[in-house]
Amino acid sequence: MSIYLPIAEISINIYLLLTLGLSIGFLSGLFGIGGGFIASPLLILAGVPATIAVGTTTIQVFASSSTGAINHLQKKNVDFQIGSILIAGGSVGTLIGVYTLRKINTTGLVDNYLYIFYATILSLTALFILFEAAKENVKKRKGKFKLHEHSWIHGLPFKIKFRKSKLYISIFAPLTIGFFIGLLTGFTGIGGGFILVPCMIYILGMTTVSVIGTSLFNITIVSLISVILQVVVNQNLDFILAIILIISSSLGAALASRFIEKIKIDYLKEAFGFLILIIASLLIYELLRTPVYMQTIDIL
Amino acid sequence: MIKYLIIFLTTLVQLEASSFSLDKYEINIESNFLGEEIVIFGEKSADHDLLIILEGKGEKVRLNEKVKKKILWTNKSTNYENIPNYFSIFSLPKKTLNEIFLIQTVKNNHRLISDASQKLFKIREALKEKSLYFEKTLTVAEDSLFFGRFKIPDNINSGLINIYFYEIINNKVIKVTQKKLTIEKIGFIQKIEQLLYSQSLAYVFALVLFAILFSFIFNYILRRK
Repeated sequence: MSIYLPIAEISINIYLLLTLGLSIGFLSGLFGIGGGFIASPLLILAGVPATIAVGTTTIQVFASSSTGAINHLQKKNVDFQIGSILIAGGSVGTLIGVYTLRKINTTGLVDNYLYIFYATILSLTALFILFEAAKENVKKRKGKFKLHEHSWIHGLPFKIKFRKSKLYISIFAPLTIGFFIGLLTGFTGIGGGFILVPCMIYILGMTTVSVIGTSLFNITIVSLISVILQVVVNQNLDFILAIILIISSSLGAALASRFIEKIKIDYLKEAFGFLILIIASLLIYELLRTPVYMQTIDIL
Repeated sequence: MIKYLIIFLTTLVQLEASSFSLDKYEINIESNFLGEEIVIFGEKSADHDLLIILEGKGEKVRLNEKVKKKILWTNKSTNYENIPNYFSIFSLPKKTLNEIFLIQTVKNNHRLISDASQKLFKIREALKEKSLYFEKTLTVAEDSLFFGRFKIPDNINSGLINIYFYEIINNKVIKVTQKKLTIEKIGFIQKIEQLLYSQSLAYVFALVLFAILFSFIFNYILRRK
């Protein structure tokens, strides 16, 4: 059974979309990720136009991160001071990202850029996950290692005190990180939590208690700004596709919460790493294989 | 079966010599739209050749040609104005594009088949890839009756498709009849599109409200667990 997507102007198999949304939601619930970095490339591979996939993923990221953000707000696990600086940087970043997407879309190269970007980011993430999983095994055998060390980041000017996180660092560090994450959100539709969390822990030196809450708070607000900009600037958000993705991924996340205690996450991490590597390989294959059609047309 | 249906329909509309009709003149795009098949049928004078051209609205398009840069395939894009968003040709007897180029009136009326240039060839091929262009031969049902079937794909833009019915003798057009096929988005699909293009902020508001609502519902389910 297929369903017509009015903004993408294509029909697509509804079961494929539901399976995709459920899987993304399930993985989100299992690993605490937004799922945008898997959703967006998978939608493109499923035949959704690249810009529509980017725009629609943004609302799915907003829906999935807002649930977690509300939980952490209630538990007071959000550092509003760092969060607001991340959002300030993120707002500028997402604005530039959305306009970059618009600009690249007019050149007809948006598919190429997004494929290269997703393939790179997914490969690096997969390698990181597999490396981390391997390191965990070594750590278990050898004992603990130091969480973070002082680096050149801590020597930057305009330092301020972040009371909740007990940090005294330059305002430029969270501002720059927020900017780049916002740029990713605007240009590719991903929330960027899988990059933001390690940056907050290893670069800013935040404690893990407020890291997740602050990260989700930032992603929720920045993705909301990105949703508004995508609709107003690029008009690339498909309502029907968004509804299907939100419902199915929310359901997937709820299902994951029921399974999470029964599954050994350590083994799953490795499987997840390989799964991301497979998606990255498919994108690389798309870039390298001889196209079936030597010319395509976009009606503007 | 279709043959007898065509004969029945043709008799029903009491066609004059060399005329045509469609089984429908209006296509509505709704949430279950997967494209729609249309039957074109009519009657032909014995000495006339027929050419039926369906031409959609002229729009700005971007042609992406695949070029290999080192190991990667990338797009080389060119924009063109006033290219029909849908184009199809039916002929009886079968005419190749090279033969159609010899018919001056047809060449002048339809830019997409005005010459054998590489540029137009590539545009036609790109439209074909999206099922927005085809060349077909009409089927003779009985004596002077003919029919043909074609599919309006799901990626069609809403608007009018002009249907030109050319009667030809010795590569000279002796008569042109024109009809219109309307493609329109209706119901929920139409409202969504209107909301996005005319009231973007209301569109965002509806989406965000929906996302938050589901966030709360599933948050509640998770909490109960």
